[in-house]
Amino acid sequence: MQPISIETDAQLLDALETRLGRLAAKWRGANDTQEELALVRQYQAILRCMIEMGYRESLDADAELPDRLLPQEYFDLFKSS
Amino acid sequence: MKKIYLIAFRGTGFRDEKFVGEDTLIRAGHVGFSFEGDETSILGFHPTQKAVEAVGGEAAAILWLREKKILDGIVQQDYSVFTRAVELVKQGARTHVWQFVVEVDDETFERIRQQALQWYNEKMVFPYAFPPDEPKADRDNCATFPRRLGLPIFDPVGQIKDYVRVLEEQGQP
Repeated sequence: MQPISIETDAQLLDALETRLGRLAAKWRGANDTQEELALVRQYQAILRCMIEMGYRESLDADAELPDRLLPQEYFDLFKSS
Repeated sequence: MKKIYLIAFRGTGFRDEKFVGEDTLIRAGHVGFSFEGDETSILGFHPTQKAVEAVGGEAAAILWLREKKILDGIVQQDYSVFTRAVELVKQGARTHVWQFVVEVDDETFERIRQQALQWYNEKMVFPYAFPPDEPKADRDNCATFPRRLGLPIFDPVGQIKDYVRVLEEQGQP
């Protein structure tokens, strides 16, 4: 695995976005409820942190958990004003 | 030696109103493959229209896949999707198209091409799923499907962002 060099917020957000995608894949591979819950908590915490840092993008479809497991802050980004 | 092209782009995502009218593959991102001598044909693996309609349409199909569920998928002709992805970059979309060239001997090239065309013409069904972290042999998405043809898949999981990153680093626009 390549070491990650993070020098800017944009690079950090990119790395966190990648991490979210991998957590979503891990959630899809999980068969255990406790493991799923732990993954969802981690996922939501990272996504909330990203939004606090200024993330305003739509995640890749395969990087999103089901809507019922996404934090409200993510939906709020795309509400029409 | 002959060339097989692996071609990919990241989708716009499904949340941005600006791209709401675009094809589902444009919004999801996609991986396809093409053969030397017929570069205006790009084949890609994705769910059948029938399977999509059976779960309630395109938006419902994405929700379905995000819930770990499977749809029937076939190899389809996707050249227009990739040309649209290129066009959308000019409108600020992140749909930059990247390709990686795989060079194989003539015999291997013909074997892979014939197999891909056979699956395309016969509409051979394979299970389609969003990728779990541990690849499963019985299912694929567009990024992992080329393994069935003996082509490299770069990212064993098949996450579109990771896949496109490898093509950015090792391939060409």
